[in-house]
Amino acid sequence: MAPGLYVHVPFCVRKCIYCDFYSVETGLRSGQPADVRVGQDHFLEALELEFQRLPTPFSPGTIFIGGGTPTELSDSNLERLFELIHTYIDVRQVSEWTCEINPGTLTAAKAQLVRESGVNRVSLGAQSFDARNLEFLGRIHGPDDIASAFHLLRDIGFDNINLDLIYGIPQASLESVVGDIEQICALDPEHVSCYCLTFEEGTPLMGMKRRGEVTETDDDTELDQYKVIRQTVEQAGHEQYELSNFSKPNRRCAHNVLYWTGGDYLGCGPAAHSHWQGSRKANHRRLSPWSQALQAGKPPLQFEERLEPEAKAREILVNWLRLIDGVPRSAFKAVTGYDWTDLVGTEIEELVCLGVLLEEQDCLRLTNAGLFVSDRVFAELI
Amino acid sequence: MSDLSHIRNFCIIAHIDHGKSTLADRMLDVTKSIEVRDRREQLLDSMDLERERGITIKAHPVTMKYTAQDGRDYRFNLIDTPGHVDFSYEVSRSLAACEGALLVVDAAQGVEAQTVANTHLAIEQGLQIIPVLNKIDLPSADVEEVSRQIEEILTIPMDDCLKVSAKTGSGIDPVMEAIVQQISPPRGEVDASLRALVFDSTYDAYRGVITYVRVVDGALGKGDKIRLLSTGKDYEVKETGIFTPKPLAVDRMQAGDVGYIIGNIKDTSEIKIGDTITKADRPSKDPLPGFKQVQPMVFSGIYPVNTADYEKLKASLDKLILNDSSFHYQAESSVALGLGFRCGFLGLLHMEIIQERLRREYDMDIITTYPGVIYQVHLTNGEMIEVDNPAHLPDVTEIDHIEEPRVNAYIISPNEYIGDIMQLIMDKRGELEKTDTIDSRRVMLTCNIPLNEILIDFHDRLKSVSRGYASMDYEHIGYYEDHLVKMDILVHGEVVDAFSSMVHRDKAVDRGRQMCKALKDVIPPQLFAVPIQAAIQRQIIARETIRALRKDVTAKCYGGDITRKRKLLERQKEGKKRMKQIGKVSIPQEAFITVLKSTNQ
Ligand SMILES: Nc1nc2c(ncn2[C@@H]2O[C@H](COP(=O)(O)OP(=O)(O)OP(=O)(O)O)[C@@H](O)[C@H]2O)c(=O)[nH]1
Ligand code: SF4
Ligand SMILES: [Mg+2]
Repeated sequence: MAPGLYVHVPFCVRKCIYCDFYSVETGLRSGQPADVRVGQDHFLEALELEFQRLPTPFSPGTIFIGGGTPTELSDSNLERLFELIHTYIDVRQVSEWTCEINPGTLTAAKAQLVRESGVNRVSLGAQSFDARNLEFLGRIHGPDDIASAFHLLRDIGFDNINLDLIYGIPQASLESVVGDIEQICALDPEHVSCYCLTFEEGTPLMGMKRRGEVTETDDDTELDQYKVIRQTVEQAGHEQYELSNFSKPNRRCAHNVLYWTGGDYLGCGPAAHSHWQGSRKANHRRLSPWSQALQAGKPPLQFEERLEPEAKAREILVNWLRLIDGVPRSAFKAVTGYDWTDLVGTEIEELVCLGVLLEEQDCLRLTNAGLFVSDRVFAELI
Repeated sequence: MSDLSHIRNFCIIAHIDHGKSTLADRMLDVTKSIEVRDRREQLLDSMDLERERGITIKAHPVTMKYTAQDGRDYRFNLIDTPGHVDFSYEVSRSLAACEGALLVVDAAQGVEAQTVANTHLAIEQGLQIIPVLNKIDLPSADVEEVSRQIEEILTIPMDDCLKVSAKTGSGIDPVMEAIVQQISPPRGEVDASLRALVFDSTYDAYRGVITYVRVVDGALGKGDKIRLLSTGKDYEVKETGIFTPKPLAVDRMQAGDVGYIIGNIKDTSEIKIGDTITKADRPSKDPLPGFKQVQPMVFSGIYPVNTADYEKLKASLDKLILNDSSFHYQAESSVALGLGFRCGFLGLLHMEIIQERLRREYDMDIITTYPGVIYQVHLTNGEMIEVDNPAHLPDVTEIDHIEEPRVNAYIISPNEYIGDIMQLIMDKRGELEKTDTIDSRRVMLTCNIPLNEILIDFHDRLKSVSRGYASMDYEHIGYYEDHLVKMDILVHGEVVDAFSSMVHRDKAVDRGRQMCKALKDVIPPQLFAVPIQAAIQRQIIARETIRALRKDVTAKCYGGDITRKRKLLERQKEGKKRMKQIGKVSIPQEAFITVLKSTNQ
């Protein structure tokens, strides 16, 4: 399998309250943190240095430009980003090239630029169509921005668009979730990702929870929302192929599938992760240490780990099980060198007994019931 | 040298928190016994647990030099004692090493249950008592009223009361002088055969067994051959010393002294508290009056979470007992929990403390079972057996009747809470025997109550119904028959023997419901539904169901950060490992504790 390339663009206009991805706020607030002064130029300079460190030749099969908000780069900087990619990376093998797009920062000029640069898939962070939800989450866009961004992208020629949806938002009713998913389906995207709002340490959302200003949505409500989303999206012609991902036929996100099936990928930019020849690495999470390391000619790594082979195989197994089709025995063996029976045979047997796993035709997968409790299942297998 | 007139041996006794250890601090200040930089509050409370909980658990001796107003130097041997009921044996032992006692009474709270109990202990031992009213700095202090209580309840003349604030230090000098003037010097004979009373012992990893003694007659020093009167075993003295409060070696100890002996004694079990030490070459034949052997009253099982840690637990208990001979243990096994120990404690606080020390000092992950008492089970064949673990109760067909220990409890409370307290006593199957008026505001209730019923939350509830004002002490009065049954708890159809308990038949249904409910709340949902049932002789009397886990899926995008997700899952797996697997069900350690605490509120 050809490897993937991930590029992390660490800028956002404003941080959303739930977000724990690394990005620097560039707009709206005064008294900006020191990191911002490093600036987009600085980021691109360092990114060039990181590209220079890539193995040569590097011919990825997929590229994913994420963040942060790639479209928060100025037009000229965005152009420069693509130039760098074309300069240092052999894109001839690329079959899927995704760019994340924030409905609040997209202009016709940027859309055009993205399109012309070779990107053939866009992922639009819609999250919700309810203005109150968007405001609560701290998103910079309103419901109308989603549709206009979507149409802009469509009109320019994108035939592979993903929309992100967040459910489990405190106080949001089931009706509002139904409304969200229906509006998404009405736009008829090729791919839908539905994420449950997670309360992460260190986010403003967690602080609000601690102060008692919000309460987490209870499991039952989340489950009801998840179920209604699955049903609605499937009725609209999508197929669930991963715990939180749905697509039209042949429109699965090949880059993400790499993550789940133990494939190789290299990440560039601060906080980017890589999986390369058996080891997992993470770049420095913040801009300055990341760029400083690169300026000093050093790898910008914060962390690197190489698991012992069995642990590694188990890790790949649980990630792979996220895919609804499950894990084919031979493919798993080819990637990890193990048969799962030798790794976690007893655990699998018990989980099969409990009806959450299914082993048939040399394929191991979660049952429908297992989907909803997948973390518990994975914890048994990890 | 044989003049003992400059020695004063005394202890400080009081109800819990009335300020004994703080008063001891001030005496250490006055006598400049502690370097300024080493000073800290309740300095004698040296165990971590004591410092953390702010209470004294063990008796702490300390020797001080005091220059009195008569110009002479006196040697004060002070023993600070605990106030909590569970440790009243520490008070008895300390009293035996002294000629006098400072009786501290909180001037804002007045005479409390342990004030009365400890005063009686001191009077029985024939000690000179100096009453000290403490905390007079508090605005709520009522010196007159509390002096009157001391006179009326304790029959100590109110004019004798000294008034101090151990916090500010005011009134300490008169206390020092009263010790000199009112407490008699020890009466031993330095030239007689050695007789030293063992009142405590601890174990130090480097120095071995440290025996705390009060020398009554004779003298001893390094190199002497000593003999324990009870066993006849001889040892060689490696070091004698006093407490400053740190152990400080001195060449000789003689009649009247309080200090320690380190000899070639390997194991604290060789030393019996209350034993008499004499010399091998010139033994005394008269043992000193010892103490009643302290008997554990509360029993519970202690098991390693990880069955593989059994040996480690055993080694830890072996070590713990070196410093606390009042606690007992014996191997037992449980179907649910595997191999473990049945342990006997003096009371619930003692139990909590032992458990905490195991967890902290010995880094043990343990599970403890529902605490209980010893039942006397009379069989149909006329035999009587003692059962300290409900799981070992014989089949009902073999039982004629069961007797349980009861206590006389003395509760002192402000008048307005009496109604609630009487209700509590009734809830706990107690019988009120009499009420005595203490003063215009307070009464003392005497009631007869099963020990088992006061084990768990009686004290907490007493405090809560009386807003913290009521205090309690109790004494054992013997075994009495009642309609007692064993109640089992079934989790997923399996009896978890560690949850079995003895209950009164009339209270079984309520108790069973509470336990099922409490367990339902604390056992996390599993991948399948788990019924929880309470049963008496396999007949179900209460039931709850933990429904199957419905959702546990983090549909979050971690991007390429697979490591993070793996770590989250590993933590979840670790969490499960820390639970006890009973059949297919994972039961968290808290469940075992929750069951202890689930009582009718
Ligand atoms: N205001 C005031 N507080 C005091 C005085 N003496 C002691 N205290 C406080 O009362 C509390 C209990 O004091 P301790 O000296 O630990 O009491 P204790 O009698 O040794 O307690 P136990 O050993 O647990 O029975 C502490 O918070 C002290 O600071 C006093 O004279 N005035
Ligand atoms: S736009 Fe995306 S990356 Fe930026 S703060 Fe919001 S959620 Fe995070
Ligand atoms: Mg104390």
